[in-house]
Amino acid sequence: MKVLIADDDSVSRRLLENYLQKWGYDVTVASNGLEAWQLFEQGEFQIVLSDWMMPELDGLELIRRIRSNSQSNYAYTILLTSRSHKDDLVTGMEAGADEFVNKPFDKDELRVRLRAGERIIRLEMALKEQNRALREAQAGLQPKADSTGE
Amino acid sequence: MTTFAPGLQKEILETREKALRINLDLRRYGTFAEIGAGQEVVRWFFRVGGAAGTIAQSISAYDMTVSDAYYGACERYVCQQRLQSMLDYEYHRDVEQLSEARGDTTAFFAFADTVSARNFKGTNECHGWLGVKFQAHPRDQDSQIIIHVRMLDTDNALQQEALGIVGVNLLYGAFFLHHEPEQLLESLLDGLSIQRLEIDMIEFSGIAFRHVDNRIMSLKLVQLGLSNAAMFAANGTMLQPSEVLYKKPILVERGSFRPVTNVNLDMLRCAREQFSKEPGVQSEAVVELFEITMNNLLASGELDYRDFLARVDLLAAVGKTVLISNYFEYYRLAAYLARYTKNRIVITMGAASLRELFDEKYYTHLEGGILESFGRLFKNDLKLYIYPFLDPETGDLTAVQNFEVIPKLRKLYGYLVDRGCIEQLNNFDESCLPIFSRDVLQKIRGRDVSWETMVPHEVVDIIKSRSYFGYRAPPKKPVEQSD
Repeated sequence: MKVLIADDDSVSRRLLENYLQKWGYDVTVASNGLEAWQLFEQGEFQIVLSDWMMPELDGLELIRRIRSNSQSNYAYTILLTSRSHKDDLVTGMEAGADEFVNKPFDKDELRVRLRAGERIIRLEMALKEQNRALREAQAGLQPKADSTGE
Repeated sequence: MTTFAPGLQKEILETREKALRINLDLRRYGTFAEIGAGQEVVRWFFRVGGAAGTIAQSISAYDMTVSDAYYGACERYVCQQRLQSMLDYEYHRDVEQLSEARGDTTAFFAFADTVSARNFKGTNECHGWLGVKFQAHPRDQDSQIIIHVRMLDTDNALQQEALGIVGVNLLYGAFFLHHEPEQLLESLLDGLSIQRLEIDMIEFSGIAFRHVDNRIMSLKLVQLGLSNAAMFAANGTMLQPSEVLYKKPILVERGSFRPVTNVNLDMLRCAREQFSKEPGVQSEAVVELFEITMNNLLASGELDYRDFLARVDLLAAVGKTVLISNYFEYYRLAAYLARYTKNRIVITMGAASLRELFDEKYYTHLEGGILESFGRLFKNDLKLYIYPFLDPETGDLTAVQNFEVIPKLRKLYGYLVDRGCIEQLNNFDESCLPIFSRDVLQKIRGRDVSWETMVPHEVVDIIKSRSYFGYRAPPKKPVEQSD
């Protein structure tokens, strides 16, 4: 599964990249929000793990852009932040984030939250596939109906 | 009355006995010059009787103009420079004026102190400089001992009393124990305690102390409990902490430095760069200290002076000021530093040390436990800069961002990080991460030359030339015979 990491902090980037690679993800890293957005537009990322505070484009704006992008499949977004106030959570969620992980992060917590995201993406993909199959089946049925429809 | 310290064979003389013995020693003759807390030292010699054979002159140049007229102008009156002027002036005058008449039988001396005792409001730093310049024997070249004391009594009269006692101890030590500097050192707080008076700097010089290594003496100050910390410069000069640290931003790196490695220097470089970005910090004003705790020096059970000198020689080679401290707990180190400065203080450490910091077993003696210790540690905007730890087995990096603490302390840790009390160092040199002092030491002993890439080149040269840490040159490869 392809994951995009956006964090301006080099140590955080390195730690996240190492962990995610060990857990079997296909990882791409960006050192600010703008770079992350450009990468996102170019590639099909299923999960985006983004820091909140970043230069150029912050994590909230990055997620807003991802949500408003109708071209791509659904991307599960996780905000990594040291901001843990309820208002921050609301702001982040309203911007379109699916999940919050506090900084400093616990790697086990991060792992299970990524897995949860992965399940949702897989469900989303399965649903999409089912819808596609349904649409195809429906399309296959349509001429018959027409031919017997008098 | 003469007493013996429990468990020791050492005779402890009372102050009056010491003063009397000096007065009765016909060779000793000189001047007392005291500024700032009454004439507390010379008073002992007058009080015990027989002072006429000891005291050539007693002076207290209390007025600044008078003081300047005698000893020359200076910016501050309670400082080492002023003390030295007093000692030089009084000693040389006595020697010049009296040598002809009694030089063959007299060992001249000058005792001086310049002190700031507690003022009426109790708002000043109570401390002082004391020194004695003396001839160990008639016609001998001069020798000198200088000490700096912090007076901890809360009452001016008690401070004066303590000053008098330590002054007599200093003179007695100089005259009768100069051949046993360790004993001399130990005797300085006879009749006193570290709760009343702390000696945080001592410097021996001159012919009688030509074999004395002042760095060892500094270490002994801490070891014997005369002070909780001592400091010396890269060139071996003893430093008085308040003169070095006063109002300065301070950056401390604690370590074993056994030996100092590239990672120690990289940690300091990273911390320096990060520190200079802190608001209000002028990077050129930052005082950088490499701190070794007594706990670390005693890790193998006994103090190994050769090992200690090896470590500090190498730190000197890389130009670092050394702080020896008895402050194993970081909050005590923080309190010590905050005594001298209201400016920013940063302690830099590896992520492995951060783990120790969050170990509650170190705080069971505090009523408030770990919360109390952190309250004290971080109260003056102190920051910890953390250098990452690379696990040599797994290759995993541990940094502030992924540092694991026990669940019940996780929120506390998060809060401290959030508040900026604990910061990650980002600009580290990747190649330094696999270096550990203990591995370097092992490689030196195992004659594995790869250690030479792990320490600065100056350190390599000294370890090799002085065979520090059990260094032996690697065995030479046999030369192959050509046909």
